[in-house]
Amino acid sequence: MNVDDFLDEIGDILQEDFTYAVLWTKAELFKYLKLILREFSGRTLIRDKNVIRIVNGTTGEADLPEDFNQAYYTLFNQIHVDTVPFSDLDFEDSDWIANGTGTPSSGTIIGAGTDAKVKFVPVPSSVSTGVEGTTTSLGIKDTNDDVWDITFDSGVITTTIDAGATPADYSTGAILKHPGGTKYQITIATTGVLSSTASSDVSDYVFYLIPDDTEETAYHLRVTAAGLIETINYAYGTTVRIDLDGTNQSMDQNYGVIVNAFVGAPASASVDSVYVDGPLGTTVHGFMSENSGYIWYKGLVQDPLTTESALFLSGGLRAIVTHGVLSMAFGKDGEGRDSEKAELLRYVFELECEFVKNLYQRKK
Amino acid sequence: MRRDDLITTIRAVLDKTSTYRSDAFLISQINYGQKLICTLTLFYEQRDTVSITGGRNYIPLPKEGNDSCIAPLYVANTNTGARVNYVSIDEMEFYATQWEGRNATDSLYYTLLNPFHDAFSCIVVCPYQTAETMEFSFVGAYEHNGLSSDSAEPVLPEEYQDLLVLYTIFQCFIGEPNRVKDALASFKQFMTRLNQYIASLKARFPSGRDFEPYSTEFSYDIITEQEQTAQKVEKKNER
Repeated sequence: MNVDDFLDEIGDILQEDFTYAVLWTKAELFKYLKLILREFSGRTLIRDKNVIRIVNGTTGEADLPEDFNQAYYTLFNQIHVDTVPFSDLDFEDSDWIANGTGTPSSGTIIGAGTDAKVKFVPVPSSVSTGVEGTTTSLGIKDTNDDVWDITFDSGVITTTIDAGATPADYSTGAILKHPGGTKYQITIATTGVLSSTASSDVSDYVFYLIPDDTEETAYHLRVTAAGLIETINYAYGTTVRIDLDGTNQSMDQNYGVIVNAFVGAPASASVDSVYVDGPLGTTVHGFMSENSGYIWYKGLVQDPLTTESALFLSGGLRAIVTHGVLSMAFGKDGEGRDSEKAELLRYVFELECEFVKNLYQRKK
Repeated sequence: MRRDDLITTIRAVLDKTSTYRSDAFLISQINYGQKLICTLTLFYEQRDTVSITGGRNYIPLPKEGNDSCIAPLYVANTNTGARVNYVSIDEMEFYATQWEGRNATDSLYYTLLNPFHDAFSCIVVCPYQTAETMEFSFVGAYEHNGLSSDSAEPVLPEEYQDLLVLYTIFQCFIGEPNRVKDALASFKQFMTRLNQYIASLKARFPSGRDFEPYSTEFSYDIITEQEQTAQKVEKKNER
C-alpha cells in the first residue's frame, strides 16, 4: 500500500474528503505519519537492520546510519565484539583513548541519532579502505535529456533527477557485465525506472557507489545473467523495495523503484520490463565484512519520501499507526480538535505498541 | 459468521446510535481488525515452504496464497525434516566464530530479522544449505489478507468474531463527534475480549490451561439456579 491510499483510509475514518471545507489536509496527515512512524519504530523496536561500515584506521570509528536507534550485535572482521559503555573500555585497554592498535574485542557507541558512531577498541591494525574507483553516484540521462542520479539508500537503488547536471556530459545508458560474461545496458525511463537490455557493447563496467561522502558503506551495481539489476555491498546485499500485493509488479508501475527482480521474458533477446516475484529481503553470501565493522541494530521504519512511496508495514501494524496519526490529527489546534479523542487514541496507540514490543522483543 | 452477517450486526449497533458508515468502510475496518488481531495474537497459523537460490544466509518469510507470514513459529529443513532451531543473533557464535557464509547440508539455527511481512522481513540461517536450491518448511503466524466477499468468513473462531464487531464500532465512533466515551467503551471491550482470546489460545495445550477437565467419575456439586434463588430468599428473610 502506498502512502496516498493509507492517508485516504485515515480520511475515511475522519470523514474528511480533503476537498470541501477541509479540517485536515493530506499534507499535514503525511507529516503526522512521518512522526508517528518514527515513534512507532522507537516504541516497538520492530525494525531490524544491519549495515557494514568502513572503519577509520586512525580513530577506529565508523559513522552509523541516520536511522540508527540501538545496536545489538556488533562485529569487526566478522568477529563479535562486546559493546560496552566508555568506562568499561578501560578493562580492554587502559589508554584506549590514545587509539592504540590491535585486534578489536570491544566497541562502544558514541552519540545518538545522526551523530552516532561506533568505536572499536583497540583501533584495528588493518582496515578495509573501500573499493578503488568508488564514486558517489552514477548518472544516466533519459530520452528527455534529464539526467538521473542513481544512488543507494541502505542497498536500495534510488533514482533522482539531477537538475544541475549538464546532459551532454552523460550517456543514455551504462553497460554492465554479469559474472558469466553477458553484457546488459542499463537505461532509465522518463519516470525514473531502471531497466536492462542485453547488449553487444564491448565495454563494461561495475559501478561502486557510496550513498554520500559521509556514509562509508560501499555498494556496487551489477546485472546478473538473467538481466536482474541488483546492488551488492560487502555483504552482497540485495534489498527489495516495492509495494507488493501478491501480484507480480511491473516496474513501470513503480516510480524509482528497486530491484530484485526477474525479466519478463528471459528467453527474449531484449526486454524492457522487469518483474518482482516477492520480497526477497537481503541476501548475504559468505565472508564479506573483512576488516570492516558490521552492525546489527534497531532502526526506523523506512521514511516515506512522497505520498507515492510505499508504506513498508503489514496490515496489522498499519492499524496501529493509524491510531497514532489520528491522535495527532485530533490534537491539532483548529476546528477538528477533539482533545478527548486525541488522548484516547494516544492511549490506544501506546498500548498497541507496548503489546507488539512485548511479543517480539526478548525480555531480560 | 459471514461478512454480510457481520455488517448487519455492526449496522444494528450503529443504527441505534444514529451512526451511518458505508459498507466499504465497514468492510475495510473489519479486515483491519482481523489483521490487527493476527498481529497481536499470532493465532492464524499456516504451513508453507520456501525455496530460494542457494548460497545465502537470508531467507524471506513465506506467503500462503495472499496471506503473509508475519512470524515463524517452527522452521525445518525441507530436504531432511530436521528442525532449524531458534537462537538469538549473538548465539550464532556458538556454531562458529565468523559464522557468516558457512554452509552445510542442513541449516541448524535461525534468527528472525524484522517480524511482520514486508520487503525486509526474513530469517537469517546459519549455516546455509549447500544445495543449489535451499528449501525450508515453515509453520508460521500469518496475517489474513481480508474477507473478499459477502460470503467469506473470518478466520477467527466463531466465539471470538465479536472482536471484529467491537473493533469496527470503535473505529466508527472515532470519526463521530462527541462519541469518545462510546469509543473508549468499545475499545475496552475489544481489549478484554482480545485478552480472553489469547488465554484461550494458550489453553490449547495442557501447560497453558487454568483448568483441568473433570475425571470421568465426578461428584455432583453443581448448585442449580433454583437452589441459588432459594438461598437468596432465605438470606433476605433472615434480614
